[in-house]
Amino acid sequence: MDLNFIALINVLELLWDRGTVVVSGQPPPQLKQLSFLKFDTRIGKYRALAMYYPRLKAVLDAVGVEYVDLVLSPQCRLEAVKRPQLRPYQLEAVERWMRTKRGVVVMPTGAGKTYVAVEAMARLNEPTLVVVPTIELVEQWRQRLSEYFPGRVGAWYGEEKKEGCATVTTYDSAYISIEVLGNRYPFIVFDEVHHLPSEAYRQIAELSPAPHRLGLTATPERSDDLHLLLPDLVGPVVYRMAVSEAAGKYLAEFEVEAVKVGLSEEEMKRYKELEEVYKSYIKSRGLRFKSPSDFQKLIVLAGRSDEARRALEAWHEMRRMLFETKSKVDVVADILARHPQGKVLIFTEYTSLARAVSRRYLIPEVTYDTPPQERELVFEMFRRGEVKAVVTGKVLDEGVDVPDVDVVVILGGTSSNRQFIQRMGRALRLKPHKAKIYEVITARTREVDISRRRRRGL
Amino acid sequence: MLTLDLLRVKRKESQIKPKYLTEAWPAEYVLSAYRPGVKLGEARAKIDDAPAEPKLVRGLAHIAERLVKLEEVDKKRLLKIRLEVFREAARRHPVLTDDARRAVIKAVAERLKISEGEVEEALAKAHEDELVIVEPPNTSAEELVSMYNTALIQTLLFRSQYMTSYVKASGAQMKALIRALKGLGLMYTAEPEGGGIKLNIDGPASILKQTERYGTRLAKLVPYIIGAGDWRIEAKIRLYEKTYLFAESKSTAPRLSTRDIVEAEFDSSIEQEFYRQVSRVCKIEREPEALVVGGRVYIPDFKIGDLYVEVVGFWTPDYLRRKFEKLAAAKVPLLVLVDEKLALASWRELPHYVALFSGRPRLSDVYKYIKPYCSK
Repeated sequence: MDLNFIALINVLELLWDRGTVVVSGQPPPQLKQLSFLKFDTRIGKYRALAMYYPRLKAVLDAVGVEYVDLVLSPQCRLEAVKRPQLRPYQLEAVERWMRTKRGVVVMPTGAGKTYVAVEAMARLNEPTLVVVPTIELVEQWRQRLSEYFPGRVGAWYGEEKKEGCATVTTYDSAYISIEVLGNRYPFIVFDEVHHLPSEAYRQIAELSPAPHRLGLTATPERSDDLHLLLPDLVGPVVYRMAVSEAAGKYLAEFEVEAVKVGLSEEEMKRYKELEEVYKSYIKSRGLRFKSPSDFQKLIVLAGRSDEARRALEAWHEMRRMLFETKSKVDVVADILARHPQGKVLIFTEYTSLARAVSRRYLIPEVTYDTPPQERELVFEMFRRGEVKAVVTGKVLDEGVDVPDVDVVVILGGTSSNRQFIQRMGRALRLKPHKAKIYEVITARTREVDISRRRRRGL
Repeated sequence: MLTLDLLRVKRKESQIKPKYLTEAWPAEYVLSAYRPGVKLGEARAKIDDAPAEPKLVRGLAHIAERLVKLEEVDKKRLLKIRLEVFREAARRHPVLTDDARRAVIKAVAERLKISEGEVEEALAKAHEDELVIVEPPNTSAEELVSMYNTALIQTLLFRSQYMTSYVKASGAQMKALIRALKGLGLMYTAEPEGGGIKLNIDGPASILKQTERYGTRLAKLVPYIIGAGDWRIEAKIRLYEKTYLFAESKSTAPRLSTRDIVEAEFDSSIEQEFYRQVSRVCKIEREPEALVVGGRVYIPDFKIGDLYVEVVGFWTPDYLRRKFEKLAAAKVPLLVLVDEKLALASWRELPHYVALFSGRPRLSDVYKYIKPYCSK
């Protein structure tokens, strides 16, 4: 047999295998003790999740064993044609992150988190994978990055799968494709990183070998406490700035006004009936709901008993009534009349209400139903001021730039504090006048309580 | 396949099974809702009113909708009209009263030289709901039921952490299964069992963490498995924060549907020609059952008596040697036919189990090798 070939067998190799690192050859005993390394009988070799790749290398280096590292295969060098003009706090965030090249930067919506990432990319010069929650954000990041890295930016989602030296993808696509993409990107950026710890998305971080990781968010905390995983998945919070620090200086000042609407008599009667069904079940079982994860209990119970299922159905119908009541469509007229000059963005919880508002007032709607091309055209018109108002569902909850919105109307939403802050943030780009937030609430219903909860800690 | 929220299951201790549909009437009801001339939204409303379990009818509707043909609309034209409406409304912003609204519609209709009705239609047809069904789902109630039951199995597997499947199938079916499995980035180990092959299937990360990551891919294997002569699957399912075992087999399952298999057979004309020639003189079996050699599935092209025959495309002597050593260890007699033009390396002498052909294999090239195994 070929002598070179024999020599190769005995050399330790680190190989990339679809989201994992395989150790080929005879590993030193120190390596076998590592808790994250397991012997895989299917292939007769040791294997670890790709996220442990840097630690694996560190151990090998410390032990002083020779090895061939074939894990990362970056395809290019990322060079910026210009650098962003950073505000002092953005610069500080970058400097702090650069110390370990891992970690989370917390900044309010509108404070320019994207530029922190652009600067980090420009300094590292490494192929970068940027993971974002929505298709709108893919488009927005692609445009922004193309200013600094022209011709080097790709997008990977849905039907469009084109890699660049910097590639923007969605959490959903990355979850599936990290096995293929992972080892080409030594740097990974998670926009709206609070999504990452969920059971499925977490795997993007676990199956990526990227030694350099940056997370961006306005609110890392999650009601299910899973943000405690972020230090392992991305790194600790390295920089944090609160909304109050930024308002008036970097962000617009704002005012929140609650507008109360009523259900019709008939609607109210139905609502109270449903409430009775729901509440009596909850009471009879002694259930208490303190966080969204507690609500899971009811969903689990509903799979087992008809009574619980009826209670859950009552809850859903109550919710639909609150979010879809006709009086909410009516109230939009008053608000639009009050701001004939301002740009208005209206949020609903359900697509059907967005549709009703759009048909009645002839303003474009942007929801999950809207074809991508139409969404883009509508955004363009909205940016140019060719349309004055847009009604949307949950698609615009996060991140997407809708510059110079003066008025945000929340017709329906959850009790999530994050959703509220992010929706509000659409109006908070710095401007000469105060931003106005309307929160439309159905009087004498649980929506009053929902509103109280989402406003805490503002 | 369905979405997870449409899954219906029965649970008993640690066992889990789909709640299969055994009657045809819900399927008939659903098919009657999606009839030509009706708007998709109207059909959906009828589904919501169905006198049956909502999850069941919505599941059937989910499948039926994929098989329906909707009216084709000129999306570009409708979009152009809509944007014109929004622009016109913005010029008169805010448009609050019915009169003001009507005026916008009228102005746009005049400018584009179309009727006001067409303008309203453009606004409506932005939504799939408003599209009219032109052809009903191309299926029968019985087939819809079997597709639904298949989809339930697949949807349950979305939540699976690994799957064991026993399959007794022809070489071609086995080849399609293994090819699909590899294409999906899954891993397997194989062992022979009762005339068939047992495959333990999961993915690279499975030994490192309990994960449902590969569940949707395991679900995609279902059509390949249920098409086999005999089959059985077992899977570990993670659902409602608990772990269950799901087991199903050809003899216990209701009628299922393989309509979702897209891949065809892969055999080439070279092999067909060879089969035709040899079958005149010997008993030759095409696509014999697959073998398990060293934990891997091995699928020869032909079997003549006890001799397995494989036609190889690109090859190197080293590749052939490794292949033979494996098969020899398994005590499987093998003849490999190689095209002299497709050799990837230079070679001097061929091993005894390799026959050479040029262009396409002929009986004359191989007769001396197969003669001892030949019977008619």
